[in-house]
Amino acid sequence: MIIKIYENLCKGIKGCGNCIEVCPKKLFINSGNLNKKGYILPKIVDPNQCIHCKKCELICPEMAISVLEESG
Amino acid sequence: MTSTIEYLRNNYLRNDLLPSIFCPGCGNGQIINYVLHAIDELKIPKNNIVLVSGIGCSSRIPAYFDTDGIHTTHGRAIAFATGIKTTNPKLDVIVFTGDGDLAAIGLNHFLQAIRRNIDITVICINNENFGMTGGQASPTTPMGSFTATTPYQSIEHSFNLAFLAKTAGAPYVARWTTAHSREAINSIKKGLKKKGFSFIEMLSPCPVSGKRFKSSHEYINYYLNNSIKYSDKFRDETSSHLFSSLEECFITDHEGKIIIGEIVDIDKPDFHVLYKKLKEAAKNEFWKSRQ
Amino acid sequence: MRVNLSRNGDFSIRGEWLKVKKITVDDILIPKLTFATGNEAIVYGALLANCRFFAGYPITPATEILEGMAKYLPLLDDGICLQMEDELSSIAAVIGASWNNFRTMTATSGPGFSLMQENIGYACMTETPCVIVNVQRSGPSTGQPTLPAQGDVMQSRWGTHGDHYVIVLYPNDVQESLSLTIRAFNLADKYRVPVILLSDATIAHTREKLIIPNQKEVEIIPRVPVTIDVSKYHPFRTGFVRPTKVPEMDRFGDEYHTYLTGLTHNWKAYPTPNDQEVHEKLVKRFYEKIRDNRDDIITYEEKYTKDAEIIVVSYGIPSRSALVAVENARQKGHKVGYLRLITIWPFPHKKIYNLSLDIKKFLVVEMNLGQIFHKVNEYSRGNCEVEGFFKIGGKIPTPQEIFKMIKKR
Repeated sequence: MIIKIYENLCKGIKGCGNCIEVCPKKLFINSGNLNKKGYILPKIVDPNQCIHCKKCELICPEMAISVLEESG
Repeated sequence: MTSTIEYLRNNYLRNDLLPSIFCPGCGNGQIINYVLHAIDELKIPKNNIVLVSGIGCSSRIPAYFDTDGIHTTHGRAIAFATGIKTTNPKLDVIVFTGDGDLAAIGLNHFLQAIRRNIDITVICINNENFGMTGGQASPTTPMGSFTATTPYQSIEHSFNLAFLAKTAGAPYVARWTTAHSREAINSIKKGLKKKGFSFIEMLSPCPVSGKRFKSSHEYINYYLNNSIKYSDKFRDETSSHLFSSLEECFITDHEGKIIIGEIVDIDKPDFHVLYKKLKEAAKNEFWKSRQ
Repeated sequence: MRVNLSRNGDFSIRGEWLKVKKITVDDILIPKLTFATGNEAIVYGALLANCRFFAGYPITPATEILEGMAKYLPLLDDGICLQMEDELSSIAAVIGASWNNFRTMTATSGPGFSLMQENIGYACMTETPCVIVNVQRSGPSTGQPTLPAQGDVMQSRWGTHGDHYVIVLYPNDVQESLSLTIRAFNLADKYRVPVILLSDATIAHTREKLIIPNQKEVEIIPRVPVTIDVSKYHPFRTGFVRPTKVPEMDRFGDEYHTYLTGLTHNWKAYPTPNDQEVHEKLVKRFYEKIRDNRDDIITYEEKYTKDAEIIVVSYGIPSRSALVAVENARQKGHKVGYLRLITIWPFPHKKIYNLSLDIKKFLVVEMNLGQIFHKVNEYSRGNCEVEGFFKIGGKIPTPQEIFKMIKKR
């Protein structure tokens, strides 16, 4: 499973943080890193645990998370 | 291989305008996401879409779509859409509007377009305040709320827009929150397919101007845990938030449960079909009278 | 003629209409010499000019235009007439429909015209062609609904907020109501501006001779469509394909994707509300596209001005009294000239200046308390005296009254 966070689009976990809230496996956590605009980015703990529910992809207001199922 | 999100963004959005101007955690971005999913799943051609909006945060949404779009004056989005749809009924016209835009300054156009049954899909992004001007009370602000213009609590009753649309006779009405992604996408799809006026009210977070929570994820949490599915027992609730008594409205930090769900799904002839019939009949009569 | 939908073979006659012979404008109007009111003439003019979308709201004294459109537009294949819920939505629908490549019109009077102002500004900002008829009545507020006035002359120029430019035309009889309606559509499409056609309660309700032309004889100047390669298309790019400040106009529902906004926007139509340079360039272009073409737009009627010492300046219904007064005065040996403005805005400033050099006095006759008077005063640059004869309250200035003013030295 590849979960990608587009760092330039993300507006941070402080005002938003939807991904942390909705992930049923709690895979998103505070990364402590800032992007160029100064937003605190989330990061993914263990992508292998992802169950491909795509809740994060749908709930992200900036369309900054993509979940790609590895084929084969 | 590109992911769904990447494909949607590259195919439908003006990437040079991203990231959007919306505040962190704003629900408008989620609405863009849901509408993109809906139009992609329905395979509506991009050239056929016209997005109409009024004034407000949510009305900036059409700018991001690489389709035809028109960002109009405050409250008049539905009136503009009426002109666009009636002159070319083949277009898929989607109206993005906020609660202030729709229910305060533009309420009459909303009700009249339902009455005419114009075949447009209206998505009301209801954040229960005027977000762009800094969080003033709107007609959907729940009773007892604190806003910039109701510093001592709002004493006005609030509108229940979905029920209002139902009463006015809209053939498709649904209310969801931005936390209900799949349900919202399905409703938008149904609304787009519906012949006639379809109204989808989306309760949406406003973590910056809204006084309720400071972060979007708190809203998501609240929406998921405080919503109640619509059923026939809800008939005349005038507010979208359920309060058991007037006193309960004024309890600070008590918001009441939100009624969500599909509220109306009926069939009735839309304006365009009837107007065509009227034209046929009038033309017939014209030639008869000239004989 | 009355149609009953329920009697017309229930609701299942879909498709059958194709068999019904198409109705043309000439079928409806039948080119002829007839009697008609000013409002009827505006309806006929609009139909002849290929106006196929009308949205309006009933208001005295403009209602007959809505009624006429509601009667005729459904007969034409692509015609649509909507009675909207108010004037705000009427003009909104008109602007929206214009982007489907429709020639669109609405008609109203003072109170409704005031309500339309915000969206007229929107039409200026998005450069949307449309025609707004304002059949003037006395104001302020509800005023004298059935009586004529000319109090909206300045409002039609400066009604909406911000710097903008509109074209305003004003007929003085029924025949001209028809021809100026056609011209209004042509100017709107040519310059992509809202064109305001002023009329007043008297012209609107006076029944007089009208020649209805054959539609073939009517000159139509259509808007210039976008033909450029899709990748090079930008909604407000000017001077790229043609040497003009008027951008080509797209329509909704094709491969060119047009985003329109009332916010200050750059040539890509992207909102840039904080950019001073973009705003200045944009709004200056609105001015320039009209001002550079004043000679094409401005029309006036001029009589007996060569040897005149006094020139009576008028427009609309009082100009008919003025002409009678001028001709009477000339018979009695007074050297009086007559100038009637047909295009009110842009204002024929050069004409006024040139005339002012050789005369003693302008006499401005208006049915308001002095609106065009100030413009005449401004552009005569002190070369001659400017006097006004203002009459309000719904009574038209009589030739005798104007003659008295001419005689007065």
